[in-house]
Amino acid sequence: MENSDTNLMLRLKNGEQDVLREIVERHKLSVLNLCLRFTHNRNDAEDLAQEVFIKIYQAAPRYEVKASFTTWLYRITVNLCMNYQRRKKILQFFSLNHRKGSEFQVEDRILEFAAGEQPDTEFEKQELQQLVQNAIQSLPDNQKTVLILHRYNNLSYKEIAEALEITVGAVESRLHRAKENLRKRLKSVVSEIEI
Amino acid sequence: MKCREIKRKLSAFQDKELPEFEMKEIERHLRNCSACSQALHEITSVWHVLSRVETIESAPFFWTRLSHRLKEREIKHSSWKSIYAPIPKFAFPVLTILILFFGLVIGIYLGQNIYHHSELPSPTSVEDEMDQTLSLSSFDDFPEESVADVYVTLLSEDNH
Repeated sequence: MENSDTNLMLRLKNGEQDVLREIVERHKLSVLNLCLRFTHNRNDAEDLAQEVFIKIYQAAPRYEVKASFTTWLYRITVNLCMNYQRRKKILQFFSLNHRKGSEFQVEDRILEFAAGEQPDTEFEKQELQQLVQNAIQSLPDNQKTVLILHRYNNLSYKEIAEALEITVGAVESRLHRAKENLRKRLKSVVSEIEI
Repeated sequence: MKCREIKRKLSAFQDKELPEFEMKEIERHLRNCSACSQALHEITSVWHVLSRVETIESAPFFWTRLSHRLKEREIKHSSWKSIYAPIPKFAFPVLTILILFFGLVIGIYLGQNIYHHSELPSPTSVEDEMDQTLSLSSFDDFPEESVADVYVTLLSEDNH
């Protein structure tokens, strides 16, 4: 309890600025990877993750122990990631090279991959990563968020519901639809891989 | 439960997020239903494939960059603060209200005075002009020795 996240936040609230480093070291990888799932770009993910911790530092004076710290942390991260995606979509819309790459190429690339061999080389491994990433990216935002929090950050349905301020039933239904969509999109890949 | 209901709950079943009695009921159903078992197998396989994503394992300079950014922001914040600190918080809304109020007063004053001294004809002068143009006096002879009278006289003499 002495060094729980909540305790560290309360110390930060009381002006102990050094504890921020401990909070960052504890959570940087989970926040970074969560940002990476949304951005697909390491630099953008790092920028966003830093922004998350800056927000936490700025919000520390107003911090109150309501929900768990990680739920609060993931809520801030998801909000920033969604804003990032919105900005990116607007920029893409107005850019001359406007393409919906991740959406229209997913199925073609899956079929392409399915016709190939096992991912035993680095290149093929990266190709597979890209396919999975694109399949996730092609999901609607609400399904994608729930899936990422559950699959990669190991949040329970209840924790996701708290983080996104929705009901547990909504989490269950979004996750069901996300899995169903991914099953259709990744069917050919799955059949080619030994699990 | 029917297959349709089971399939809808397979995702939560796979995540072990259902109440115990439902978990057991689905387990029993899966033992006897190959279609639902296949659906669960597919979902589970996809779940495993999802682990094949790029993952950041370490971020060695993350704290250094973050602390640098924090310092930068604090410097910016404090420089703004030093400019605005002597001004009390309520001054900004009060100033805005005053500017709007004076803008309104000046607008009303100008609106009332710009056209006040203009030379636009008043409705009465227009009526007078119309009366003069259309009244029967328009058909009277020209005044004696006026240019028009002389001109008409000359014309009539020429005709004779």
